[in-house]
Amino acid sequence: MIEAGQPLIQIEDLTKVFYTDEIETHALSGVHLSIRKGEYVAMSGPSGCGKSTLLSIIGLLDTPTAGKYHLNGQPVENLDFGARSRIRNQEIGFIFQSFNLIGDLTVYENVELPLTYRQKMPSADRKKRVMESLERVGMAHRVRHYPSQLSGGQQQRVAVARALAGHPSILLADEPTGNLDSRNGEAVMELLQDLHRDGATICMVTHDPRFAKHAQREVHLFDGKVVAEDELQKLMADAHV
Amino acid sequence: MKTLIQDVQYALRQLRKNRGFAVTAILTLSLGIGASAAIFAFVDATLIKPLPYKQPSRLVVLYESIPLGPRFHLSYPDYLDWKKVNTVFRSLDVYQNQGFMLGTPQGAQLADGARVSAGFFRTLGITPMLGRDFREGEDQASAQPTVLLSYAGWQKRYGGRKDILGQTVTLDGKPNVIVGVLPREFHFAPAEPADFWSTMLGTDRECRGCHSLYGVARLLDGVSFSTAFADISTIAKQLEKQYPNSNRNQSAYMLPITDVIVGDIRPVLIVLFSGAVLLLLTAGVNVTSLLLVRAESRKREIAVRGALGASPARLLRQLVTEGLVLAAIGSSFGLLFANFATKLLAGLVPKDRMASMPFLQGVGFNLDLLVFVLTISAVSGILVSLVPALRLPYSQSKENLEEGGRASAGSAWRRIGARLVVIELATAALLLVGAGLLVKSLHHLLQVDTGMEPKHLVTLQVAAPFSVYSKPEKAIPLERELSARVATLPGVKSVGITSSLPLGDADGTTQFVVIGRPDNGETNEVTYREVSSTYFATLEAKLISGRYFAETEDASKPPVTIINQAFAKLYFPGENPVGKRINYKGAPATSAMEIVGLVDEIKEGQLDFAPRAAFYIPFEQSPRPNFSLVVRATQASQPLLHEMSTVLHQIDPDIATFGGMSMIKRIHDSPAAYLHRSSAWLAGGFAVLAFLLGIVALSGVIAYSVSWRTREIGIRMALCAQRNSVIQLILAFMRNLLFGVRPWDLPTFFGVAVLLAGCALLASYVPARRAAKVDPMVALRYE
Repeated sequence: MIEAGQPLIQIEDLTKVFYTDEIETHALSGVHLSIRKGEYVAMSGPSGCGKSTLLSIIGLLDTPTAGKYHLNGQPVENLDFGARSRIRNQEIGFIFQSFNLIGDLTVYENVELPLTYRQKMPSADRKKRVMESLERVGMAHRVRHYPSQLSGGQQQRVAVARALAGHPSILLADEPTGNLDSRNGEAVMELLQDLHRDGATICMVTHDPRFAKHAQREVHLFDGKVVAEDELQKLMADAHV
Repeated sequence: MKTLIQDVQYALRQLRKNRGFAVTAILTLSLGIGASAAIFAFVDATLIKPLPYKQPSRLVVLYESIPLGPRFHLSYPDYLDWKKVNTVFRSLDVYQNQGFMLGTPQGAQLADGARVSAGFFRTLGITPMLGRDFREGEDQASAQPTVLLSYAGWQKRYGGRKDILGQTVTLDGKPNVIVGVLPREFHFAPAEPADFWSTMLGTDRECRGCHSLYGVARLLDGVSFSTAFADISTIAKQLEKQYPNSNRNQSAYMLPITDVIVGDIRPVLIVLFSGAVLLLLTAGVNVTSLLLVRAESRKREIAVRGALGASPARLLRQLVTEGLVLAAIGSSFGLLFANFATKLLAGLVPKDRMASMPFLQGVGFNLDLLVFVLTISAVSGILVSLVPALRLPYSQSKENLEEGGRASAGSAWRRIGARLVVIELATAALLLVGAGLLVKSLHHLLQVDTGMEPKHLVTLQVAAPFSVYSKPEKAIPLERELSARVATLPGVKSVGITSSLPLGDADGTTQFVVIGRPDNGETNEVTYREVSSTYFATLEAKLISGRYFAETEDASKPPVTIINQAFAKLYFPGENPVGKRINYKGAPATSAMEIVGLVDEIKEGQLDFAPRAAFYIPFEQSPRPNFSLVVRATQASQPLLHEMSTVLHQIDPDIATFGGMSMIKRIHDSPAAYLHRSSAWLAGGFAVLAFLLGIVALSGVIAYSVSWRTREIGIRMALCAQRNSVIQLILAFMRNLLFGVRPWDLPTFFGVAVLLAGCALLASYVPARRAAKVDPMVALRYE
C-alpha cells in the first residue's frame, strides 16, 4: 500500500505513437511524470499536445508504445485487456467531460455500476458505498432520477459520485467542466477540491488556466512532452498558439 | 446471480424505453419462432414420434405390382404362398381397409373398420389393453368371426365399458364376438379410421386374380430390406410361372411401413419445415440487423461500461442476456402464435383426411414442442445478440467515449439494412407470386372439364345389407323403387345410379379382350362402372356417338356397354367403336358386350389425372347392393339429401347412407383440389409471413435510420427545413428500393408489386412522419 506522499503513479520515458496508413503520429514522446498519493495535479496544454492521450494511458484505457508505468508500485504498461479492466475498476475513478452517465440507468444504478463489475461485493456494501458517494456530492435525494431529469451540473456530480464509489486510488478527470456553464463548472471544481482536502489523489486534464489553478501542481504538455511553464509560454509564442 | 437479475432488469428497461425497437424485434421473433414451432408440431407428430409398434423399422408393407401400378393389392392365395414360401419374414399378415354394415337397433349403419388376418397385431407387436388378441385360425372362413375394438371406438360406441368382452356385435349381418380393446396409442393409418378390427376377410379365398389385401410383415432378425425384397420378388416370379393366367406381368413390391404411413406427407413437411426455418432465419437476421444498428448507438455506453471496469466477457454476458430476454419474450408470443397456427393448419385438413392421418390427432402443444421452442429461442437469442456484440468496440477509445462511433452507423445501416430489406421484400414478392400462381392453378383445376355439369348435382352413397340385396332379384327392385321415389321428390329433375361416383380414386378396374382380335396375353386393364340408363343424362354427359342404355336393358337382354373417348382412342384408334364387342378376360362368350355408345370422358379419377379408359355397363345387367345416387336438382342439396335418406330408410331401415354432398363440393373436396388448395394456403401463409417480416424489417430499419439521423434532422429543422422536405429525405431511401423492383407485365406480378409498394411506403411513412416532428432542441441536446 502506498503511503501519503509516496509516488502513486510513476511514468518514465513514456512514448505513444499512432499509426494511420503509413503516417506515424507521436502523441507522447519520452514523458516522465510522477504523481504522489494525495496530490492534485492539473495537466494542461494546447489542443493536440497529448494530455488526453496521457490521461488515457494513466487510466489504463490505452497502452503506451514504449516506456514504463507503475501504478501503486506495480508495472502496468504491459497488462492484458482483462487485467487492465480489473485494475481500472479497483484503482481508478473517471470523470468525463461529457459525464457519460448511462441514460437508461437511474442515478443510483449509475453510481452502483462500477461496483457491479467487482467480484463478490455484497449488495449491502454496494448500497452503503453508493449512498455515501451520493451524499458526498449532495445528490442522495435524486437516487431514483434518470440522467435526463438532471441538469448538466447535477449529472457531473453524479459522475463524480460514480468515480468515488469504488474508493479508487486516483480520480482522473478529463475536462470535467468542459460541458458546464461557469457557475456549475466552479461548483464541480470546488467539489474536487473538497475531495482533495479529504485525501483524494486527483489528476485533471484542463485547458482552462482558471481551473488549473485549483490544483496543487500543474503539468504542462506541448507536442507530447512535459515542459516547464515558462518553456511552454515560449513554445506557444513561437508556435503562435 | 444479482448481476444477472440486474442485466435482465436492464434489458427489460431498455425494451420498455425503446418501444418501437421492442415491438419490431418481438413481433419479428414471434412470427419466426411461431411459424417454426407450428410446423415443428406437425413434423414431431409425423416424423419424430416413433410409430406405436414394436421395432417399427423392422416392419414392411407388401404389394403386388401389376401393369397399372406398383402398389396393388395381394390376392388371398398369393398371400398364403408368400407366407408359406418366404425365408425372410418372422411373420406375414394381411389387412383390408374396408368398413362394415353395423347392425344397430335403429337399423344398419356404416361403421369404420378394417379386416385383418389373425396374426396382424402380433406382427405389429401390439397387445390389446383389454381382453385378448385374435387366435390362430380365427381368420378362417369357417371360424366364428371375432372383433377387436379400437380405443376410440370402445369409448365412442360403448362408453369405455369393460363388460363388453364376450358380447357380440353384428357386422355385415354376421355376429362378431368382441374379444378385446386395442391400446389408446395404437393407430394404423392405412386402415384408419377404424372402430372395428375383425377377422372377417372379405375376399374370395380361392381366386388368385382377385386382389383385395395388403401385406404386413416383420423382417427376421439380421435380414435386410433388400434381401427380403429379393426373396419376395423371387417368389412372385415363381408364382407368375406357376399361374400365368392370373399372375402374368405381376411382381412383388415392398416398402418400409414408415414410408407407407408417413411417406406421402414427409416431403410436404420437409418443404414446410424448410420454409419455416427460412422464416426463422429471416426473422433472426432481421432482429440481428436491428440489434446491429442499435449496437452502433450503444458504442458509447459499452465504452463507458468498459472504462468503469467491465471485462469483455462481462459485457458480452450482458448483451447476450439482453438477446435472450428478447428471444424469451418473442418465443412466448411465438408459442401463442404457434398454438393458433397449429389449430389453423389442422383445421385446413378435412375430417376424413385427418382420420386417415391418426398420427396428427392431438397435434399441438407438448413437451417436444416446448423443448424445440426453448432451444430455438435460446439459439436465436444468443446468435442475434452475439453478432452485434462481437462488433462492439471493447477498447475504450476516447472517440468511443465521446462520440460512440456515430459515423459508422450510417454505413453499417446502408450495408446491412438496405440489402436485407431488398432481399426480404424480394423473397416475399416471390412467395406472393408463388401463392398467386398456386391460386390460379387451383382455379384452373376447378375449371377442368369433368365431362358433366356439376351444378345442381347431388350425390349420396348407399350401402344395402349384402346378405339381403346381393341377389339381382332384390338389388334391381331396390334400385328401381329408390330411383322412382327420389324422382318424385320436390326439385328433383332426374336420378341416376352408379357403382362408383366420379372423382374417386379410379379403382374398380377389370381386364378385357376385344372380340375378334387375337389374345397375345397382353393386359388390357381399364376402369369400369355399372350405371343406370338415366345416369349419363342426369350428369349431362356428352354422347359422341351411338346411344345411352335403354331402361329395359337388364340381364334378360344381350350385354351392352358404353365406352369413353379415352377407351376408343386407345383400343379403337381411327375406328368407329360402336357395334364392336368386348368381353371380360377369361369370361364365357355369352358375357361379351356390344359397344352401343361413345361418351366424352367423365372424370372417374382425380381432377389432375389424365383421362382414363373406361367402359360402362347397365346397372341392371350387373346389379350390386352398394351404389351411389346422382340427382339433378333445382334446389339446394342439404334438404334434398335429408329427404333422399328418409326415402331410403322408408324402403328399408337397414340400408345405410353416407357421403351425401353436392357434386360441386365433391369436386372442391377432392384430393387433388385439396392438395392444390392446401398448397396455395400454405404458400400464401408463408408469403404473408415473409411479407410481414419484410415490412416489419423495413419499418424497423427505417425507424432506426431516422433515429440515427435525428441529429442531422434536428440541424435541418433548426435551419428551417420544411417538414415535407424531411419526409422526402426519408422516403427517398424507399423510392430507391421500389424502383429497384422490376416492372412485371403479368397481372400477378403487378398486383404483388403494387401491394409491396403500398405497404412499404406506409411502413416508411410512419417513421418519416415522426422524424418530421423532431424538436431541434431535443435532437441537438447532447445527453
